[in-house]
Amino acid sequence: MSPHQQQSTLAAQGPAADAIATLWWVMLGASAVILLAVIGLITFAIAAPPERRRWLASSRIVIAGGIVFPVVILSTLLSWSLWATRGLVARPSAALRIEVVGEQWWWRVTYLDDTGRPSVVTANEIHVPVGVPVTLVLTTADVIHSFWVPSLAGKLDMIPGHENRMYLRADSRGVYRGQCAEYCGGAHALMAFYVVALPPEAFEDWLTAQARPAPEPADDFLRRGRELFLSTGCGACHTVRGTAATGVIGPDLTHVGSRTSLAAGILANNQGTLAGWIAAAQHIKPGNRMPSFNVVSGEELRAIAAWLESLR
Amino acid sequence: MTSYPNPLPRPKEELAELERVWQPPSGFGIVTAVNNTYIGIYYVGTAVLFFLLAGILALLMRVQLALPENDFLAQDAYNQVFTMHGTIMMFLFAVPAVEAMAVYLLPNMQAARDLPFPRLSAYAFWAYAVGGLFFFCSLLFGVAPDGGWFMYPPLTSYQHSPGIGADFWLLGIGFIEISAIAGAIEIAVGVLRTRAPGMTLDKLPVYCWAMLIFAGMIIFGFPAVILCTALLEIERAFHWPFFIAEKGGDPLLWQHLFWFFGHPEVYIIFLPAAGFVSMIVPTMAQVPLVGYRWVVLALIATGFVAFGVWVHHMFATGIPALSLGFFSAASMAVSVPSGVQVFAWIATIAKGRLRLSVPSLFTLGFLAIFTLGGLTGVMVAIVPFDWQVHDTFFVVAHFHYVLIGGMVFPMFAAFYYWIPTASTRPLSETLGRWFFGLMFVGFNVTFFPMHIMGLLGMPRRVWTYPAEMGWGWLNLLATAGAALMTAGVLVFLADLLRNFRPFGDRNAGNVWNAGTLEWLPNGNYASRSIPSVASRDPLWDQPHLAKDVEAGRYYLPGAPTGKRETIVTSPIDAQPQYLLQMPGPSWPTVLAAWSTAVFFLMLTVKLYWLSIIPGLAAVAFVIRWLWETDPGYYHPPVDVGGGVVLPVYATGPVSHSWWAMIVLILVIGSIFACLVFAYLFLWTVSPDVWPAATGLPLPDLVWPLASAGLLGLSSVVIALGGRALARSWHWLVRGAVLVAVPLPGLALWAELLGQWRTGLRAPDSGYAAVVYMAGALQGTLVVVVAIMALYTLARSLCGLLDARRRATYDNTMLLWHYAVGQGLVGLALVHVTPRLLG
Amino acid sequence: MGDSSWGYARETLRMTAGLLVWAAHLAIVYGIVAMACARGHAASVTVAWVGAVTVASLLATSVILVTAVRQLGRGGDSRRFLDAVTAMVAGFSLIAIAWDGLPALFVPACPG
Repeated sequence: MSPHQQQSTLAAQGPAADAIATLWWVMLGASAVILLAVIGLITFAIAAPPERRRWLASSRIVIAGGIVFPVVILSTLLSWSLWATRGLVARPSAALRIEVVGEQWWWRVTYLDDTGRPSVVTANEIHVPVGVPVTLVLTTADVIHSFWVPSLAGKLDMIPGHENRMYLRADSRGVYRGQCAEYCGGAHALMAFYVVALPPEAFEDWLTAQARPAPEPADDFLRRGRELFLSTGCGACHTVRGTAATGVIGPDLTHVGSRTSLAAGILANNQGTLAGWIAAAQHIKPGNRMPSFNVVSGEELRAIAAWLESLR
Repeated sequence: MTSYPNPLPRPKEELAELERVWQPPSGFGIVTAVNNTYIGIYYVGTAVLFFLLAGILALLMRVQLALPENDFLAQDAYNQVFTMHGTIMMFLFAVPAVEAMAVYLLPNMQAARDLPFPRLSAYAFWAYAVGGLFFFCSLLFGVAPDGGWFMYPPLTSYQHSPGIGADFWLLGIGFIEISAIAGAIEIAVGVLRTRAPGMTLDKLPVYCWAMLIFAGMIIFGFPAVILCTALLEIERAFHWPFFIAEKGGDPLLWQHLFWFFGHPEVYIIFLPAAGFVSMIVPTMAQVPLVGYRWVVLALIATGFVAFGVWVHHMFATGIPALSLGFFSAASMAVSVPSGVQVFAWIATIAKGRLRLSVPSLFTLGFLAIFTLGGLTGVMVAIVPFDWQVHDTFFVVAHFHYVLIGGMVFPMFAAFYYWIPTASTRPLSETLGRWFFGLMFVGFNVTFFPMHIMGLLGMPRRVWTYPAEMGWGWLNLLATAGAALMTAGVLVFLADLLRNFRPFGDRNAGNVWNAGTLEWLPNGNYASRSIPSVASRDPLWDQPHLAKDVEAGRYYLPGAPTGKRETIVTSPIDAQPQYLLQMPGPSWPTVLAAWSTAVFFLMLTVKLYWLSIIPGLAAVAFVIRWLWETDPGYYHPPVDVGGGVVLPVYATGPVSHSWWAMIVLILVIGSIFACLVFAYLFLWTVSPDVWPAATGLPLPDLVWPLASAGLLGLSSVVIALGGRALARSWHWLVRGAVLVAVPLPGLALWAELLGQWRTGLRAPDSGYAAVVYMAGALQGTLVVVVAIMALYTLARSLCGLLDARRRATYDNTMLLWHYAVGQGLVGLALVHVTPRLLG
Repeated sequence: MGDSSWGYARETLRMTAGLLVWAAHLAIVYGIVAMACARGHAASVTVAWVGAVTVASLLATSVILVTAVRQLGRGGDSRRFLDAVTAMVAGFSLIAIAWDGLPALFVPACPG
């Protein structure tokens, strides 16, 4: 199954999304009944013989249908939803903490170790262990964004000056797509990400691998790619741990080759898309902060892309 | 056996005189018309024009989204288009449209000859029409705003939107703020004070009730948006950090203020539409409305509770869950009154026999669509569910169901229903049925799939989406529906072209056999005589009423003072109180409006120096227009019939102008209350920039005390001047005004100097910004009362002010005392609060 | 009470008294929670305050309702109408206030 199909509130894969989906199906059923009843009453009021519809023509109906019935239904619904809210905002114990920072138009993801210090910095992709509660600390570097992975939980905004916390848990292994839900300017439509839920052991392996510096180039072509990357000035914005590139404006690329997608969930990740992105970033995602490096020759582009792809 | 106020036959010249007095201007002068039947129709027409323009923008979006990864509109264009679509639909179509309908309908429905401030309506209309078109044109030059219709900072502030797009948005909103407030004054005073004698509050047509609540909601809702747009423009222009988190501002302040206006706004749009329905259903069923009192309750309850639900637009912002719960509960409460109205309409239909003409069809379409929209409204009021669907196409579907279903369908019902009062021909039943069918099917095909898109994860405001998401077929379907709706609107336009013939000598008449007074035979002067009323549906209960009114048997069958007049009545029991002489067509009014529009446009495109010219021109034209509006008491009291002798002049609490001033004060007071909220809100989120934390000293108390002393003194002097005026000691009055005028300005100067000397600078922190903003608001008020006082002085010098003819002085004094009160509260806020809160 | 401008103002306040209590209730409980969460006050105290304000508001609205109901049916059409609406508004406000107090029973005051 393609990961794309997992951006749905109706394909719940965690307790938060699941509780909300249950609310939805119940509300849908009740609403359908009410809507049909109202339309039925209107039809009856128009078309039934006058003596048969007389009961409908009084203030008592206004009170019964307009006040008593809604008060009963809505009191029930309100109590239930408040109860559900209580469960959803309860802080889980001993949760893994991940910081996510919304930026125009991508996501900076930082894993914190037990002491609260950053251990891994990555972008646009959040790996979580299956069945383990995770605390996401949500902030923004510029404007308001909103963090949303419909299959796992509802959304929560990232607002300057505020630090919001989201608790979520993925109950099954999978790749879940998320997308910025608060309009954040130009390329808001192109600001997606993936949550990858792995079995706990696999997650630990992934975390360990991500904490390592970038691997040494395996051949000359890749080595040339690395040199070009550095000489073209990419390091001013990007960090590749283990090299001279230490920029912090754009995503950390130390293990960019290991990611599912490129440019915040909008391109598949391979040598071709990497090269395309470098050459035409402004065409692919207008207004983003990465210039289109269209002065780099095709051969050079291939070398840089190949090296980046090798960063697994 | 009925006795009539006036005997027949009427003198021959009486009708001719009435017609002469109410004669609309001709030729180019037609733009100076102020009569509600003219301004109302210009106004509705302009609103419909903006509906069409914003509708075209919607079509562009639907074409872009019809296919995944489409490239019909580029990213920047799409972002401008959706921003303009929302902004125009909300601000330049929906609010003006319902206001315009009120300008047209209310006087006739209450058998008044016009609304109490005809020139104010004309000013509001022209400022809106010209300003709105300027705003729209920004799109043609590619400088339209692109921050979404609710323009959240920091995206829309100077760092992230440095262009003039956001300024254009603030310009567009500025005009609707002006015209909405003007309209609210007009409508509130009109509904309460210019009714047919005997039309007590319990006999008021439901539509008038709806418009009264509408006006109240504008009075308390629009101030929030007036303040937050002012704050954003000041932040953009002068970098006062109201919304900048690093400096102790907060982006959430914008959201609170915007939605404190924004949610009531939805009901500001819906209540008038519900009012239409409550008029149309009884006529079409030919029985009085069932549950009149319950419907009035529903309108009042909606008017209040709508102000308690704004946070449901902010459920995903991380506000404490308990707070969210309060607003979720209030959102449940606001749905109850809508249910009450729906059942009242159903009961009315059941009681009578519904005639299935076009107005009925649109009403039934409204009932179905609005009920669905209401049900999804309850869903999105449920906090956890909203966390999923907030900012998705589910919400887009929901609010189009409540806005198009709840406002546009009733408005088309109203067009088909009331056009016979405005046109020599009614609209076509056949074309109307086609129009309805295409709209109803097209609407549901367009918007129903959007619920599913949202549930499948499609966020709103995306200009493109990947094909793999599986949203493509739903979007294609929605675009097909939009094509159907377009066809429907074209049929409607064709119907208008064929059949709508306004400004004729004779209208199509009471084609539906309705029971309310707007169906009386009428001309430019409204009805020939002003009936007294004893029930809610007078045309049904008094079968000869139309004939008798037209024959001139009721009150005020002519124009006894030789001017435009109407009867002002008491607010609860509609007892005649005095005869209001109303101003007629006026060039200065129209020129003032155009100058205002040009002034704001120049400010927006940063022609600051040049803008002084239209700015001063606007003030001059306003003064010129007002100069004629206090005609004085020179005409002796008039016998309007039945022994009712009415004075021709009033001042003080009984006068309509005093009421208008009270309404204006409520507006200004609400703006100030929003600022107090802003101050306290910023303190709760950023105490670290408050004096106790920064160590910056507060001004020495001598400054605020001096300021308070000067303010108090000015009030005393103005009040003494009022006493002197009662004794016609004219030089003392003039002296008092001259002494009083500089005092509030000096008081403000003392306050600001005190703050300045501590080293506090507005751009430094949210605290500093809000402190100086309190001064800026007070400064605006100080300038206004100073101009008013000097205007009063000028009238005194021209001999237009004396012990009886003193409305100008009384109204100035009222605002003056308010300004002093606001100044004192403001001083307490910025000097006492930080000392108390620490 | 005459049908004067001031009489109208009094009548408006009376007619909407229930909803004015509702508005005050919402403003106060919202303020309490906003303050408590910004300043880290104890959750149990916050909830107790919200409960107390809700009970007081319900009592006040009940008084308005009972007073209005006892007035019902006297005077002319206009008087009867105003009294009836006063009572209906108060009744509606009771529901709205009760709902607004409900979250305090379920939801913790501030995020942990």
